[in-house]
Amino acid sequence: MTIYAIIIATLTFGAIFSVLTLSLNLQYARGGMINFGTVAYFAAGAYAYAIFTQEPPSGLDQYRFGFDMPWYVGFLAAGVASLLFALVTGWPTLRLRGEYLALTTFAFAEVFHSLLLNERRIGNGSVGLANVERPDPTTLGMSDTVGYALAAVVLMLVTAFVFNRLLKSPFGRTIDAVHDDEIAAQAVGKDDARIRLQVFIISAIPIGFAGALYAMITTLVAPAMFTAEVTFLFGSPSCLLVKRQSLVRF
Amino acid sequence: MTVFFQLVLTGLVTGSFLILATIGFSFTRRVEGFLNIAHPELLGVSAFTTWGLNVIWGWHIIPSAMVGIVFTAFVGLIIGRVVYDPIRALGPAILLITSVGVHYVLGGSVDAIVGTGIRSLDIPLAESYRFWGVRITNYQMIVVVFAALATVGLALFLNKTPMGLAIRAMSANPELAASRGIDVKSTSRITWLISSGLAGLAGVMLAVIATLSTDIAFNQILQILAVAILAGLGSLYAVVAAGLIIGVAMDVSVFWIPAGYRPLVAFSVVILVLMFRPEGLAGKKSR
Repeated sequence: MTIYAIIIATLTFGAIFSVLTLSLNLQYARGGMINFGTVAYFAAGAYAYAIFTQEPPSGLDQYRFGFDMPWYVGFLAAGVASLLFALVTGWPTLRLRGEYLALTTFAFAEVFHSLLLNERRIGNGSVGLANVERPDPTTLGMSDTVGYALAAVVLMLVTAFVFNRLLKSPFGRTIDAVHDDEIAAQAVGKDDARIRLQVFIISAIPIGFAGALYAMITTLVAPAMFTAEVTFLFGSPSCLLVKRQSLVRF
Repeated sequence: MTVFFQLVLTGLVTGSFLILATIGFSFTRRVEGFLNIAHPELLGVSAFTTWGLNVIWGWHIIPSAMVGIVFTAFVGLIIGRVVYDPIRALGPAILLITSVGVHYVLGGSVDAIVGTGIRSLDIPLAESYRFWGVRITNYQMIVVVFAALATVGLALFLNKTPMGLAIRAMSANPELAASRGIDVKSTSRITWLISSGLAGLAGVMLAVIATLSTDIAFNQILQILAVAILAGLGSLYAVVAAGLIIGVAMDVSVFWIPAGYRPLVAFSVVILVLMFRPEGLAGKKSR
């Protein structure tokens, strides 16, 4: 492996995981919600991408659905899947605060993991889905690795840009208001539960896209790739790099 | 129907084990004020120390277990002093993340020293007793007895001894306790010894009732978290109720659905309870 290849690989995976960190930073530093289940959103995106682009099952395959769609449909589906997962897990849990929220999101992630592992009809159980379809960057005149590194960096920059714009908008100020003083925000007519759920969902979408990209690059999705380590190694930096630490309610 | 009652009984044993494993976790949360994710790894430390003394060095199980528990208590104490104390001022979030790091370091060390594979203690095979068609082994009974002893012992210690009262005072209001002349350092030391010792006891029980592999400690964390959340973080008495509820729910669910879904059942119970009582069974409304 040359230095060049190492740099490209670092850039690719670094950018993908920094999307996770960016999203968590939005959730935790600005939204005040600590999420220990990031890997589940990532996995939801990756699996959604794989299921949508995979060919229908044949032979020894145990999965039920493979829609054989083009990659961009799968990519969008990944974002939607992550969003839906955030909605399903956020709705019952966002009344919880601090550690309760952290632990319950962690619980959801582990439940999702065990579901992927035990329910062979979703993604072939522990074997996973191999040979995931991917767009071919060589048609654009780039080598494979450079193409994907570029895609990952673009995803990261777009995420950072969108989040930045969002936080500078009136919506961003509402988030801060809810975070700093919930009662006061309620008193001026802000629905704090709704805003919290919105932050949760918005920050989940890029994680889903990152999951799809990860599936394209590795051309494999399997439960072993989505363990709690992903959350802790890439999620925890965001908890340590909190911008407004003194204000974080925990 | 006998099968059903058998599952209920097994569930009660599982629940007792979970109580043992969670009570130290909950105790740390209450006194030190943060979630020690590394706690389940202490179960592994204790289980493998006991296993090493018992199988490799050929000691009898009782002294090996005692040494295992004491060793684990001191490992916990050292981690508390070396890792957590210096960063206490940074707040519970940082402590929580740090404990995740400690969890990986401990787990990795056990993995590196012991190596992978499946092991079991050198103890006589379990004897099975039968009551009205329902079986229970002597080892399962030991787990239940130790869970009861540990709970009652900790409750008595906290309520009746001066040290226990000091710990409770510190958990309620550290500054006030310190200004009233309570030695915060030694109180914290006792807390670490007790909670790690309880983890050690749970680890020995795990080694007795289950076959050991190095990832066994991590597999416990989910159930420990489930019990702790259900109980309301930091509440000791509710841990008993929560442990039994989750233990029975997990084992009885095998009656209807495949055993691979046991963690799913545990967390479904937790999520259902939290939807109605967001602070857990015994939690008080606090902001």
